Amino acid sequence: MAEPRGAAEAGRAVKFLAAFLAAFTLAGVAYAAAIRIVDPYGEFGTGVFPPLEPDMRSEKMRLFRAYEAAGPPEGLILGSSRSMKVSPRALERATGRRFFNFAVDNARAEDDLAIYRWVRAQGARLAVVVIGLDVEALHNDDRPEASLLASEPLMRALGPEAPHGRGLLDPLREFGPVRTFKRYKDAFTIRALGDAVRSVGLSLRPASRPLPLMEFEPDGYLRYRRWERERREGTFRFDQDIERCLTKSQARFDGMTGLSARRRAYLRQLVSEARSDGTRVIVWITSLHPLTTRYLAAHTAYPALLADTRAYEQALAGEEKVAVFDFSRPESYEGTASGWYDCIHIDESNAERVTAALLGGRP
Amino acid sequence: MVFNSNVFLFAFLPIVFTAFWLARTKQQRYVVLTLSGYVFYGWWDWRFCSLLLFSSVVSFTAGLMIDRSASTAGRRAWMLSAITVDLGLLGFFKYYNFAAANLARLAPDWAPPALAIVLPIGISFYTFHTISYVVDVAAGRVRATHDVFEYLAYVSLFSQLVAGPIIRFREIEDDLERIDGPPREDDLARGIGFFVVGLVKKAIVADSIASWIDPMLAVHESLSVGGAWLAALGYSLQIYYDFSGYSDMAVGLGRMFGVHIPQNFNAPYRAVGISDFWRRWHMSLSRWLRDYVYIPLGGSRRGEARTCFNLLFTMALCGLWHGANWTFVAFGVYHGVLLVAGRLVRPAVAAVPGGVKRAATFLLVVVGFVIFRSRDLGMAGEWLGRMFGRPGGEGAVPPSLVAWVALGLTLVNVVPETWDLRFGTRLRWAPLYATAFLFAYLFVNLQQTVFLYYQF
Repeated sequence: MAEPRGAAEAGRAVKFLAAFLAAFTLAGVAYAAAIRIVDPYGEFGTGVFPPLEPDMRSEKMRLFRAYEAAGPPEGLILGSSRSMKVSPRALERATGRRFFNFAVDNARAEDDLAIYRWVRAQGARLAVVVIGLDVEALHNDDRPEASLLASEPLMRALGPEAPHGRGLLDPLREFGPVRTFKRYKDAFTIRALGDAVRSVGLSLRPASRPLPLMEFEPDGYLRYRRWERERREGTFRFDQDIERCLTKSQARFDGMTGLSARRRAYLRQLVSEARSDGTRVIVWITSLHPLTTRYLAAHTAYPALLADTRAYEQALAGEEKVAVFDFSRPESYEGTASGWYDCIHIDESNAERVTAALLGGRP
Repeated sequence: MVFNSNVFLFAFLPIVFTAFWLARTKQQRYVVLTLSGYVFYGWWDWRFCSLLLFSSVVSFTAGLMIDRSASTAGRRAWMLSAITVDLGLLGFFKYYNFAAANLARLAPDWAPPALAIVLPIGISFYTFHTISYVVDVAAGRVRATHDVFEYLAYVSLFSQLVAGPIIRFREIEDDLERIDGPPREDDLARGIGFFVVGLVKKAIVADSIASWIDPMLAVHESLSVGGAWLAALGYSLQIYYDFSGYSDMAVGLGRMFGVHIPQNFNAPYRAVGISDFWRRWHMSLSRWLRDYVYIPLGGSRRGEARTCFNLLFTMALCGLWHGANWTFVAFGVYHGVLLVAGRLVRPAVAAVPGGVKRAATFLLVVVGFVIFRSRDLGMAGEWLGRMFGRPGGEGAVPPSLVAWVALGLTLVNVVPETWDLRFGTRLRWAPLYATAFLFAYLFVNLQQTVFLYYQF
């Protein structure tokens, strides 16, 4: 009797497991379909609901095409969000050349190279490239930015030099179905779900759309709309989210023990290609708030990494005839302690000082 | 590898589950469990698999030799040899640099050099597994197994390998002996239920609270009085939901493979005294320390003074077991003192209402977790100082954290402990488990974090 009872018990267990897996699959498919329809980040091109946060790389590519249609840009600003406040108009006023700010979030050296090549492939003839170099842009132990890996045009621009993550299955990422699967997989987050709900809510009540924190002007220049309004209203507090800002900055250095050889090669390649295109290259080490510098010095190897970055920058200056600046300390460009939006991002006043200091080096 | 990772959820677990249930014989299933345990462990750093194997083989061999020894002295010698090897490994990997650094402060000329030692993950847990086995064999509480794969499967069982619960061989011996049985619907359903509840606790509650308090504690110098209390309450909730979530997942995984892992948490924040708290918090560690340290020291059988010493010593060891840092020692001693004090004032507080005792116990536990969480004693002093009114910090008090703490406190006081939930085992419950799992996964996929107890 024991064996038939065991077999029946096993049969019920298998049925339960099958029901669980079937329900999970169904719920997953329903979720993926809902995300595809709502498309909160505009990744699937569904276009039924308004996207909330377009991918910054795609957004800058879109802006660049429109900007280029109005007249050929001759100057390009590269770097991370710390370079987004460098004003193309200020540079144009001083040099007479049209600039576009193509700085993107969390830019690493591979982003700069990919963007430069993509811009060149659009037919732009550049006279000047200004690269804002973060120390972490040469991180030796982190993955390339996910939105770079997801960007087909930029990955194509990198060609065989395109970086991959560190997993065994990374070579598979080149295949279309795998990319599609990854795009759906990345949508399985509580943030995507929340944003999808917000996107639906906004389409139902467009007036409820809040003022965005970040917005780009047609030349790629960044406006912090919400913070600008808070400053006007006198409600802005630099330290409102300082703990998170500091720990996020620290996290960017997780595992970084030195400068990545691969990323140094990317940057050198960019410089070399620009020089053979007849383009002048300016590299500046981006600035951090003194509080952040102190915090990073206490919790990471930032001082040594900064020294390595300076040495690397000097090597570029010597070998590749690149104009280099070290603006890691605000004093180096006469920046002020109040000229910050948060612990790593300069405001318009400090950005003007950076620009003036860069122009002092006659680009 | 961690339970809340894509590779575990969608590759490792399905493969091991399928291989296990396709295997028919005991030996095959032991081998599947052993190999999966080593893959799980080696995913972090494969080099330390040899250490796990070495420790397992030493205790397995010692068990056999104890079994064969005719004399008590012989049994004792084999037992002590195995314990010495196990504690030697634990001492070297976990405490060598701590000892060297402290000696360097006291007597620089005598201090050995600091070494670049990587702490093998889970060493504290599997060392306690192997020690409990040889002690139990020597005491005649369990028969030494002659099946090496049965023993390797016990030590390397991936569900409890790196962060417990600390299981004794005798607790799962019957399950291992019957490992070749067919799957059971109630085990599978409850296993999935436990696993999903654990994932919800970890991914939704613990990690959400952590995302608020970690930044605050990173700049603890700026904590305000309110912020210091909120961070302390938040961490107490985070560690409970993190570790009890992990334990629930371990229990659930065990059941999926027909192994019944004992309870590790029993609503600890409803305790009405510190001794009651330790009967409810990390129960497998408390039981281990009681049976293998406190009682062998004499327990409460040798008079009041000796009992107090035994309590203090056991709890100091409990603290040190968590890590090589004076904060852990202080945490253990603090709880030892509370246990002693509780013993001494027990008659006086007998008439105090249960609600008051419960609230007081919780506050004392929260203070203990401040010491536990601190990077060093200086941070603990500063944090506690802020909590008790020392002015200075002006850091913000995030409203979201207030909401999470309020929710967490409500849940720990109202919702039954996972072991008291009556998991449905009928087919109609499967969609509920699946939906809860998917919802928890939305948090997991946003940010994959390591369990707090992985560091111990």
